[in-house]
Amino acid sequence: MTPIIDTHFLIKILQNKASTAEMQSFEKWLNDSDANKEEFGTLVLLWKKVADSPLPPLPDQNLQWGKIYSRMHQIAEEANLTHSVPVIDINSVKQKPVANNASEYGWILKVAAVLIVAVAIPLFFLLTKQKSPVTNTHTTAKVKTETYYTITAGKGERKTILLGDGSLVYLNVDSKLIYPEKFTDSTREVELFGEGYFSITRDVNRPFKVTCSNTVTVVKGTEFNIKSRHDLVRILITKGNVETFQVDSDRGIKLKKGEMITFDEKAGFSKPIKANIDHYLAWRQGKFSFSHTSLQDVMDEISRFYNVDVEFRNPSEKSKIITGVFDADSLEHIFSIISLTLDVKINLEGSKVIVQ
Amino acid sequence: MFIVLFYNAMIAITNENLQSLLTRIKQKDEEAFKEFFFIMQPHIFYYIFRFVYNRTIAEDLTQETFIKFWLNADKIDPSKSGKAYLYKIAHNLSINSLKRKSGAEYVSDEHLNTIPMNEASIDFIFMEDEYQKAVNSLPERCRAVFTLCRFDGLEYAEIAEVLGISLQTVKNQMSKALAVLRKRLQNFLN
Repeated sequence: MTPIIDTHFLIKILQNKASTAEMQSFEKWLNDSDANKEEFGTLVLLWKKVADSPLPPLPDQNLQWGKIYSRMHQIAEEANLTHSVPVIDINSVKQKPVANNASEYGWILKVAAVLIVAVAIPLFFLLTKQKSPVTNTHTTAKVKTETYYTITAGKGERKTILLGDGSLVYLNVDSKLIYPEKFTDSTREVELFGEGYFSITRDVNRPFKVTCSNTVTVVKGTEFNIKSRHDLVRILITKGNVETFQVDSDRGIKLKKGEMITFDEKAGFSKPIKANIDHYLAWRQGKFSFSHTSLQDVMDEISRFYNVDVEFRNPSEKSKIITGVFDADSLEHIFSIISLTLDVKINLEGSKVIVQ
Repeated sequence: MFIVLFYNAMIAITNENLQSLLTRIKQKDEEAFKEFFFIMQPHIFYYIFRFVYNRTIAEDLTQETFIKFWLNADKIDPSKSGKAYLYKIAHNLSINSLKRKSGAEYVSDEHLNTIPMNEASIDFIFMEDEYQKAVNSLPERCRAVFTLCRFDGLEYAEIAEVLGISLQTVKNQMSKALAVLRKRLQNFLN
């Protein structure tokens, strides 16, 4: 069978992928006419010339391998710390998009819609302007067309999420991350409920913004922990610099490595303080670290981690204070130490913990 | 025979070698991944570079490509082309990066004069020639097909896999690329 000599066949010849039979047909075709020779000659020249253009030198392979290798191990290590949590790559997660009105942005849209109808545009602009650090300033039309996804780590469950830009988010138990289907050209915005550790890929052109409760934390590429429980938000920086805002303010507070700030609805932001990273990041090592913590808060952490309910038979026990670091691998062990130290009785009945 | 001129470095590694490496990578064998990286890094770096035309960005994206590949290693189908999967990641990262930047950073002739010429910056200065300009003028998909075929020596079937298009579309785009390039570079090819 004689193959059809077309462009694709000639490319095969150029790529040195033709069989002996094909080579023979080709040589026959080439000698058939001068037009064929010319056609092939032009193709050869083009093929060769486009590859002759100068290119920059290759990045040093050993150096680059070193970077990749250490990142691989960093990710593996971090996954191990969070009890071998598999990494969820959002690009490969096929989940149902969250309907906008069900997402946490729903209320903004509803408020905006009502305002447009009832009070008309000027007031609306005032609102969006005030919100500018969180909502994208690109008007509501943009917000409406975006699709959001939610990844939830339930009680007793931790998750690691690989975002589209290569950033990693480690969700602690009983926490939730909302992210858009696609980051925009100008920003990367997510919303956090509960506690998460963020390791953000550097991109100076697209700041990464985490909204949590009434705070917005803006970074270019760094590592930090945000925790929001009972209306108190704690932001702790473990690497690089971040800037954090209250939702309706454009006055940011700059934080650097080792600093922590708290936010409370009533009191607003605290002054940045030097924080004990080991203490606040104990959860990443599978540990509980308590420092002058009330038994109520201790049991609150434990109930999230082990997915158990806690009942205090005697409310006065709630305010007893505990300090110490516990491995989070045995509930019985933690309970026996607390019982001895505080002189309380802790019993596990089914999935319920009774303190008396 | 002048065909020897077109010897492609990619052929130095046989497909069987590559497939056995991929099977080991799937089992999270770091040595195999390292070997795979040393073979594929030049191809991936230049593939990305030809899209983003910025050495630093290309370097970062190359790293990201291999990390993503490793994290998704369990999804490699050794019976299919793992190479195509790697290119697919590189391609998507490049396109996303381009969309973000609204156009690649070309160093044009005018800009060249404003860049300080010291030894440190020499690496990063890079001037497009007529051939590169012609390739860059191709529409995105057409350019991707041509680049993968010409510079990366991929089979049409692999290109279809990388770009998620049909074999027929690959053929059409390749014919279109050659026709456009021939026309645009007419004066240089005679």
